Amino acid sequence: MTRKILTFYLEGQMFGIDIRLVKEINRKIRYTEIPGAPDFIVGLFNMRGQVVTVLDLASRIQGEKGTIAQHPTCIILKNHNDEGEYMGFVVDRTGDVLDIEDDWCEPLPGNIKNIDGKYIKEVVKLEAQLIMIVDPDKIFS
Amino acid sequence: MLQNEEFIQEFVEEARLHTGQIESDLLELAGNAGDMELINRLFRSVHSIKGTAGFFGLDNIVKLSHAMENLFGAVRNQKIHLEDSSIDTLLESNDCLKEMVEDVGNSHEVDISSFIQKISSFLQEESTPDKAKNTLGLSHTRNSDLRLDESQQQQVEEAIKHGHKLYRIRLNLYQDLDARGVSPIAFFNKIQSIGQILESYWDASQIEDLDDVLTNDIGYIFLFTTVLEKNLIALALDIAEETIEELDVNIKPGQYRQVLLDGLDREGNPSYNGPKSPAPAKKQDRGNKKNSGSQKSAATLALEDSIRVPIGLLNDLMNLASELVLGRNQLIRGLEDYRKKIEGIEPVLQNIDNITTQLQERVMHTRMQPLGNVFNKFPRIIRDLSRQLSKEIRLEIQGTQVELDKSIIESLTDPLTHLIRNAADHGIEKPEEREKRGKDREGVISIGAFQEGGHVSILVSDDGAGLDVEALKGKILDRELISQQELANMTEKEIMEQIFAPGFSTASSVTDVSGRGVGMDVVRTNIDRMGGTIEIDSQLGKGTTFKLNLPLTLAIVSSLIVEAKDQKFALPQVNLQEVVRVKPGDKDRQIEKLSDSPVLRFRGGLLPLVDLSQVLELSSSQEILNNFEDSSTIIRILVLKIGQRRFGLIVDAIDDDEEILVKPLPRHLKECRCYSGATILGDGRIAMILDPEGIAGKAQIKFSDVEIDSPKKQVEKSHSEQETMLLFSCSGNEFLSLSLSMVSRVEEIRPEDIQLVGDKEYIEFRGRSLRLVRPEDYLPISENDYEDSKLYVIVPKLESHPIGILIGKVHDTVILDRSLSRQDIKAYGIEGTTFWGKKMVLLLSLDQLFEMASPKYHRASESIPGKGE
Repeated sequence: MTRKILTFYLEGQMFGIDIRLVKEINRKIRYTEIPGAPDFIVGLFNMRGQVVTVLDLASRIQGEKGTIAQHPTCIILKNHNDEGEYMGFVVDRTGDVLDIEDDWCEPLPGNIKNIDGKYIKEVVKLEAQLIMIVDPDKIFS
Repeated sequence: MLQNEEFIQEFVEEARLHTGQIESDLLELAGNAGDMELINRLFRSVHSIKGTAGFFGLDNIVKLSHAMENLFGAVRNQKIHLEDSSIDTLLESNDCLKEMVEDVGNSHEVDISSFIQKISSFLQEESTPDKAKNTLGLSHTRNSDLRLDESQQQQVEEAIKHGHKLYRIRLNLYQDLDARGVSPIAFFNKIQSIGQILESYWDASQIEDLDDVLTNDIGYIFLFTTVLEKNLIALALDIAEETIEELDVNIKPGQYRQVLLDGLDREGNPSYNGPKSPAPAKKQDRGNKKNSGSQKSAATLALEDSIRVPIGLLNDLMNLASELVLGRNQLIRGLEDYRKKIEGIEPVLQNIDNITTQLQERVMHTRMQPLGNVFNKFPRIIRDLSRQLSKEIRLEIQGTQVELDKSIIESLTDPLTHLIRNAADHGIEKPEEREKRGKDREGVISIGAFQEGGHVSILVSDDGAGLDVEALKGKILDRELISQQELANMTEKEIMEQIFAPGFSTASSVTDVSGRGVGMDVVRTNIDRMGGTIEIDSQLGKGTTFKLNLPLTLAIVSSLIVEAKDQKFALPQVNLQEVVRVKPGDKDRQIEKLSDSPVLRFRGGLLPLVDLSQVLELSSSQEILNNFEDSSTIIRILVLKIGQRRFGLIVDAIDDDEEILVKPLPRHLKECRCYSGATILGDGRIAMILDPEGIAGKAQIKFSDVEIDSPKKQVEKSHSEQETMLLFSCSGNEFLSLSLSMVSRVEEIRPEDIQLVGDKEYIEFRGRSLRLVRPEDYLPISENDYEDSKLYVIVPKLESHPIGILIGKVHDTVILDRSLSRQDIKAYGIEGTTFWGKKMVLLLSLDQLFEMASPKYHRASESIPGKGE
């Protein structure tokens, strides 16, 4: 089956996310830092009256706090669980939307270091490169 | 049989309303057993449940409601008389119906046989066994066993007499309803609006096994009477004419049954699902067509008067409305410099401003529900309780129409139920005891609600024994809640308030009703959580009254915006008691340290201090301590209260009062403890809402009783006699004053800033237009022209339609003794007079002044000056 993924870069590494989960991409967001919040929370920002919790995906996946620009780009997800709460995460920049086939995908190999495997759903083998597809359910749990 | 989720949900909601109605009607019936109107209404409610449940094949609900319907039918025909015991049974049956309705999926597993047995025993007592059998042939009988009971036959006769025709309609459930998205409830209501259903049947005869369900439809057959012609019925019900069959009515009485049965037989072999019903009510009493017609149209009207809207949609609307408010503010601010340059923009902006405010208010209203939704539960509770406790209790309810936000209504149920139970159990005495004391045997518990300005008050009172302060003292000492010495210093009211302390129970024995370990402290905690307060007043031997003050809505909270390390936070006003500024070099007021922890001498007690930026880990504790030593800065302390406890929160800056829209706390931030939610400020940035309780917890403040009580008394004393007042003058020389607690701020303006719109004056204030009043226009004080180039505007607190007071000069803020005030000068708008030194000071009444200035929005009787919280 063909699917579409949105690619994005985090600390120089390319990742992907199922495009059906993405609500929108916001560039140059103005967020509010929250003192006392867990490390992986960047802050909250106001998306047309909705409060969006912004996560530091790098700190979640790579285990150390990423460098966050003052006005970063943020990928915001649909709130598919109907919780009324929007979630987003900051990325260095977004890439292309790619068509991928199911049989290009396989689980994360066992030898990967510096990456917490539970947040990665699968790896897509493109001819030119490999893309890790993130699993938002795990990331935002 | 219909499985459409949405339709089932609709049925559940509808049935919920009906069961609620049945309960309150039954309770009312207990007092007026002969009230035909009530019985008819009951009959209709049960009938509707039965009729619609039939569409979904909810057998148990159909059976039980049918049994109840029969009983009401018999009562209506005056065959039997309802005793208290039968009303109890009906109440229990209704409870069972409720349960089944709440869990329709499993309703077929509920055992209803005992209810049906009981109900049929009432019927049997009064009617002949034969008839009872007729009306209660409940099992799935074949159609050959069909018996129409007497009342049904009567009904057919009646109907025909009035020119009704008898029809039989056969529908295919999936094809005719489900597939076309017609809800069974709506369909049922439609039929009821044009005629009367006599009888309905399932016909699943074409369905042999499960696979067949897919190919063959389920037939739903009903017999009904109406004055309409066939083609009109088809039109009215939006069904094919072929499905309607007119039955011959020109037959002798007594033969109807046969005709109906014949009609069925020709149609194959419909299986019979429960015997049926006489039709809805009024008709039989009055027995004329016109009447039934008007009844129907009234019912239809009532249906269309309101619609159901998912709560999520309302919340979205509310969010959007708030966004609009922010947008408007930005627009006005953005156009600031061009307002005068663009011709004609001014009235447009005013208009948008006005409409936006109104829109937000109206939208907020959609979430409001009447308190009746909670109060209506109490008659039943009191009825049950008076049985259980063998007391005679009358419940009086007032103010059911007062509205509060849905979320508050929901969380009010438990605390109020607790208070009512307490009143019945501990308050009201046994009838004999009451007689001995010269009271009526019957005790009265009353519950009432009314709106007071921006909040709603609920009073729960009883005329029972009242609180025995001496007994309370004993109990307090027993439980070692407070030392004897402190107790001696407490007022009666303070002692009474101890019943809200955790671990306190006044019940002399644990009864079945209350005393289950959930005490008044839980009530207070619940009320606190909603941002409300609870007070108690009691007189020994006369009774007890609880007064609850609740905000109208949880969604919008009046807050103070404060800063710590350049970051803004919102602090709900309800928690704020006062603001203290410690100036460098002030001998009377300095922050002191007890083993490195800062405290403040405050009203005779020590107030523990917490620095906001330290709790939030924005700065280190050393930094904070250095700050205190640095004698050049003013330190701002917010005195916060949590129940009876209080502490001081040090902030770097205090900005503004702002009405904020509370957004729920994102789940990842729940563990921070310091926040209760988030909000979006006027500039579009998000700010966290501070939670004083969480902050106290995180800062590990331990409250001891000493801290609690000694400052409190002082505070109350100062409230009762002395108040900090703002002293000012208008254009004349008279000194006027206003309690500082009612003042939001005082702004300096230039006379040329004042703009005239019609005969009213406005200024631009924080991006909004603010109406101005000159007190001298309304009060008997002298009026001169202002000569100064500087004027001042007092912006009062907590006004939904703010008005600024234009004054010429601010003299000072002074502590005045209000108790000195007397009524020497009588005028509307002036509360009284007092003296400051030798100068006479007029105490201004804001409410009366605003009422005169803007009667549309300000009614003095509705808003009573609060303490500015």
